[in-house]
Amino acid sequence: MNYRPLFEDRDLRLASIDLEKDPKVIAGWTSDLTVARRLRSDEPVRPLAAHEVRKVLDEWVKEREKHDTYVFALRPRESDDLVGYYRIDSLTWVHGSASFELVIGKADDWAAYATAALELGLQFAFDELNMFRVKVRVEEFDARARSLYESANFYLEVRQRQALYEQGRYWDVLHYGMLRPEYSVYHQQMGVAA
Amino acid sequence: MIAPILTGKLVRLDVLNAEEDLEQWAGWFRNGEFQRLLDDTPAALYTPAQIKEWLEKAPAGYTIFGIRTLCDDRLIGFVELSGFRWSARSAWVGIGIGLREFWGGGYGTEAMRLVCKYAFETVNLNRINLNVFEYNERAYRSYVKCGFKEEGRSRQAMLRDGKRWDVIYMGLLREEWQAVD
Repeated sequence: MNYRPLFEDRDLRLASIDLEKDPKVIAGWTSDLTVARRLRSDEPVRPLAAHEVRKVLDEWVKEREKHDTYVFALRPRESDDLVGYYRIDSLTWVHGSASFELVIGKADDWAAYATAALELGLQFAFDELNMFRVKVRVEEFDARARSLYESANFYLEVRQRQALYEQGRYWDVLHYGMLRPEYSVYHQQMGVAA
Repeated sequence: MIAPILTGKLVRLDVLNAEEDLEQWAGWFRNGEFQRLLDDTPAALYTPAQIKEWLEKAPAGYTIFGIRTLCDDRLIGFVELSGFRWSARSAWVGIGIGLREFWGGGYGTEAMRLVCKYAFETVNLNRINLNVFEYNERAYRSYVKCGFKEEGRSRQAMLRDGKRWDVIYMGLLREEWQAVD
């Protein structure tokens, strides 16, 4: 049996969502409408108040009980601050297929934690949920997310042309996918790098 | 006067009437092959009342048509628009021909063309999305005929009979539609 730490890396840990404190922090990130879109798909997209974020998180925690979604707070190893969240959804158990979202609120935190968050998230999806494949949707203009997934050797699987409207023009939506054999290679490389 | 846009040469798109039509609809789901071509969830059976309840709970904008033959007014399938994104002017399309004798006869292709025409010319969409499973070659060919372009594949996203299959993403943009219509 392999008992590698499931919920923590050197600098970052996956933690439970704090329904009292976290909504306010996440609401503060939603002036970035890319974050707001991840939380609520109804239109028009707009920044959300803490009580609205709370409602979304309540729903996710409920779905977790039905094993429809898994959501983790991302917190630094040595503090209770919230830097982001990682959520697995669209779980299709019969096919071993799922989607995930990785949201980190501040640019500095993205630089510090995104790689570790992805590594912990993928480990949970593949090793704990036994998924055969995962995918993530990225807006064409989200350069930092694209470079994160590309450097982790995700495969650019789908380009939905003109699927998003923002800043007065259409943008493509990209789907990046990773299969279990590809995860094994990635995991080995991450192990060597650490 | 404007020409009726929901009528073609083989079929027309019509309302689904709860009482008469849903009984037939429920029957289509007895066919496991129909379900495997239609959806990636495990096959399930529904009573007409359950289907009616599901349709009544559908989110705003959800639009479903029955497909009827012009020659004898038979209900042979359905086509739906869902998942509207009004800012991007996009939606998802789904189609199912429930009666096997109407597979491969151009009925589905014409129904798809009609719903695309409706989506672009009446609803004023800019983009239509669809998914098709790798093993559904007949549907793939039909969508290509309607002008849809493959935009990529969720590789090996489905497990059927011990084999993995891609889920294919296709899209049709308004400008492409104008070129083929």
